[in-house]
Formats: sequence, structure tokens, C-alpha cells
Amino acid sequence: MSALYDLTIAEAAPLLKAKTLSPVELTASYLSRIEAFDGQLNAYLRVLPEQAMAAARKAEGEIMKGGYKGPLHGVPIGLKDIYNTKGIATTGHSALYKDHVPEEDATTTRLLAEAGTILLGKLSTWEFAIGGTSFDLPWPPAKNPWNLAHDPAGSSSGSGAAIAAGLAMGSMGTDTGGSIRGPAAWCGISGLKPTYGLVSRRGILPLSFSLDHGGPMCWTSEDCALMMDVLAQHDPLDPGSADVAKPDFAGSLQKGVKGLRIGVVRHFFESDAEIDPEIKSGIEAALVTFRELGCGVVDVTLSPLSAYGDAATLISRSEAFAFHEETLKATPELYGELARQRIMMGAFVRACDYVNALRERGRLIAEIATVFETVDVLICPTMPGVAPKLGDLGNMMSRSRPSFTRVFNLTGSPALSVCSGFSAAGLPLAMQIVGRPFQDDLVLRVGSAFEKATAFRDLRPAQWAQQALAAE
Amino acid sequence: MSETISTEAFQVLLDRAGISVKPEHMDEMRNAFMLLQAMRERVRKPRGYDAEPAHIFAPAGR
Amino acid sequence: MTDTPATPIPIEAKLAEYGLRVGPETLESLKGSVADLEAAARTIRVRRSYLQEPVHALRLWTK
Repeated sequence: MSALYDLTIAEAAPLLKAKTLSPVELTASYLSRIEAFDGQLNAYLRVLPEQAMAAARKAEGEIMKGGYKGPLHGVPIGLKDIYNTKGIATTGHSALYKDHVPEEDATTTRLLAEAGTILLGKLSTWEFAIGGTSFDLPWPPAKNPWNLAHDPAGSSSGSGAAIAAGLAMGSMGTDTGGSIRGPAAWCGISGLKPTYGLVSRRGILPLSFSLDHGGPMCWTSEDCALMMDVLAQHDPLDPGSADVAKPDFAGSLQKGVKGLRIGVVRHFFESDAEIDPEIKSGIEAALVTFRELGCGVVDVTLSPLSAYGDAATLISRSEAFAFHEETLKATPELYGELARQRIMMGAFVRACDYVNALRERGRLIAEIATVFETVDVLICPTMPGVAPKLGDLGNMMSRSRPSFTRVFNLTGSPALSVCSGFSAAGLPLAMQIVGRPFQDDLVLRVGSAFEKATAFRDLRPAQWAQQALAAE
Repeated sequence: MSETISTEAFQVLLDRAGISVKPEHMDEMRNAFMLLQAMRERVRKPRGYDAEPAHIFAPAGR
Repeated sequence: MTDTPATPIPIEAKLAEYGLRVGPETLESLKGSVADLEAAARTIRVRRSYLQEPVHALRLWTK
């Protein structure tokens, strides 16, 4: 059998159900790994050993009595520290919220607990999910498990790093402009930004109300599907929550991808923006794989990347400033420099610009819907390059740093990042798979088929595997 | 549109917004402001009156 | 509660920034309207829980 930390949720679930794997043993294994390695990685802001072991004993008792709840029962997870946890500090990785102890769980926190997951701890994030890789906060930034000198991306930095390093089986991230998919890409894992409205935002610290999405980050797309089976619930407390029929996410994976039509948004990465040649090679190789799996592949055209970036930036900065204005003025010293600067820009967007950005948003949503009449999913890069050195990410906005992920926050489309190989330097490459609204199950099916047709899921960060072996 | 905004003019905008910026971050903020200005200009384009905002007010129960 | 502006901006400067032109006869009444609007904004600018969301939402679904 693989080491416990190498098991996916899909592999562990039948063992937990059959009582051949104990939630207590599994949780203890993860806690000892966190204890041994997280000092180097900084994925966790707060580890909850007593609470986790108590939850594991409870899960074990339930399973032993025949009360198995489903594939997440007894599964150790982590939450980005902007998910509210009742009675446990939820800091946003910020001095401003250092003592913020919510009185109730986020809806997603509750759903995951009800499904029997074991909360290992709260994971590091860019400050308030916007601040960038910062060194002036109460906690240090997370590092990339594939190479500790490199950046794990953000804002769900700890969520990505913990999964890649085997310090949690599943994690929750949030994504306002790419904050699930970016860390999924640079940490070489699978991360889904679901359709807007499919997963409740209630109780997640807001960055931009209309662009924020919560979603799962796991080693495989199959595991993300298992998480989505629990997470996708209509929530009347979230005004954006969709009251729609829930797909069978895990069941959908069995259908295969033969005959699906894949649209490649080639102008995004060939003319609208420059990308690292290794990222492009990874995508071209993936398209060969999809053809071998029986998919049709065609190029499609959307508006230029900048059209999405403009509207999304005006909306996100306005909404973020509306939320932070008061505290930003009253206690600017409690923000890190990057978060403070980035949020401040919202002060300069006028109401008419915001409204016009929303009108442009409507046009771009209609445009992508037209393209989806001819294809089933879209493919484009997740990030323009591989993970840079920690601290080398730029501070502010830049025209030369386009975002392939923000596009789908604006359209609300389900968008998945999967590992599409490795660079010569051993850093993960990635691509996005994007679908029609509420066809998140199809997006995960395509991602899972790709992962099963390739060997990229067999490779874990070497230094962690070696250190772990030495520790055992 | 001008390529940059003077420090003085930008200070007026900062004052009006009630926010402060450290001198060492002023140039970076001014550059970011100009990028934002360019975005505003690009988004501000002719539209028909049927080009509605994407966000919808949905009364409870609908 | 903090308030803006820290430095009052003359209405003439605001109009110029937006590229708007008004005659002198309009300016006086406009000043009254602007004062009303700023008072309204102050009323809106109150401490809110982050759980209080805008009622306008992106809605990609139909029931």
C-alpha cells in the first residue's frame, strides 16, 4: 500500500468504509507529518491537533457502528483561513483579523464537517486573499513543496502547498481572479473554481462579492468531484447561491470523454499574451492526449484577454474597497503593504466605471455562451509561466502580466486547473479546463480522464517523499 | 491620455479618498493608477441601452 | 467613523475631472445637490458586517 499521505481521497474512502483504515490512524499520520515538515513549508497558520483527533475518534466510532456517511467520512482536510470556523480564529492571514473568532461556521465548513471530514487546521493565504506573497504579516508566507525556494502562488497558497506536500487530503481555497487555480497550477495539483453560485460563499471573508468563489483543491480531479458532491448545495443565506439541481459529480466521472468537443482559446496564449514555451508545450501535448481519448479539438475565438482583465479589475477593486474602506482608513498599519496598496486602488474607480464594467461583463458572458454552443469545454493555460522564486512576484497591476484565470471569474464559468507535466527544472506545468455554467461535473470528468491517461499524478514532490521516507 | 499623473494631482485624489500612501510607494501607486485609468477608458465605450449590467436584482423568492 | 474627503475638493474641480460643463446659474443649485448627495453617502457609509452582501448578484441560473 502507498504511504498514508500518498493516498487520494478516492483511494482512502473504500478502506475507511471497509474499516481497514482507521480515521484515527490516518489523522495521526497527517498531524505527525505536519509537525515534522510544516515548519519549512508554512502551509498552516494554525494546526488543531486536539480537535482533529477528537473528530477522528468520533468518525471512527460512527463508522464502526455502521454509520458510514460517504467518501469524505474520516478524511483529513484543511481550510484556507478565510473560511469561518466557529470558535476558532479566522484571520485572513492579517493582523487586522488576528483575534477574529466567528460565532458560526461558514456554510461550507459546516457541510464538510457534517460529511465527516476531519479539520486538521487553518491554511495560510495571501492577506485577505489579495495581498500577494508578503513578509510583513504576523505569519510567514507558504512555500512551494516542489522547491522551497519558489512561490506556491496565491491567494490559496497554503491550500495548494498542503495538498502537494501531503499535509492534507483535501483543502478549500477561494478564487476571485485565479486564487484556487494559480496555486493548483504552481503546486501541481487539481483545483476547481466552481460555477458562480454553486458553492456557498456565506461565512467566507469577502474580497469581491460578485467574483469570489469557494472551491476544492486536491491531488486529483476525482477527489475534487468527491468534495463537490458535498459542497454543492443551495444556500438561501448567500444571495448569489443557485437553486439548481445538483449533478452527480463522482458518478459523472465514469462516463468518459469520447466524442467531446474541446475548444482551444489559442489567441489567449499565442497573440494576446506571451507564455513560457514549456507551458505551451504542455498544452499541445495534452491536446494530443485528448485526441487519443476520442475528443475533437478545434480553435475558438473569444474577446481579447485584456477585455476580461479590464472589466474584472474594475469590479474587483471597487468591491474590495467598498468592504475595506473604513478599516483601511482607520487602521492602515494593520494591513500588509501589498494588500493595502492593492485594495486602495478601488478608491479611484468611479460608480459609472463600475456599472459599465458590469455591462461589459454581461456582453462577455453572452459571448462565451455562444462559443459554448459549438464546443463542450475550453482549454487554455492557467498561468503564463512556472512558479518564480518566492518574493519575485510583482507588487502591483501590470499590463505585461495578463491573467488567464480572471476571465472565468468574470463569466462565472466552472474552471479547473490540472497538472499538465513538469518543466525541465522540475516545476509543475498546468492548464485550465473550462465549461458551461453548472457543468462542473463535465469539467471534472475531462480533468480526471486526462489525469488517468497521463502519469503526472504518480509523481510527488521528491524532497518531501525522501524526507518522509527518512522519517519513517 | 497623459502617460502619467503628477505627484501633486495624485495626492489630491488620495486626499479626497481619505487614504495615505508612504512616499516610497508613491511611484508604484501612480503607475497602477494610470493602468486603472486606461482600463476605465477601454471599458467606457458606446453601448446600446439594452446592454444591461450582468448583476441582477432578484427579489426574494424569485 | 472616518469620513471623506479629508481635503474638500471644489465642485468646479470635480466637474472638470469628469469633463462636465455647467453655466454659472447651474453651479449654485448643483452645490446644493452635491451636498445632499454627500450627506446620503455619509448615511450609507456605516459599519457593516461582512455577511451583509449587495442584493444585486450575478445570476447564471434560472429556476
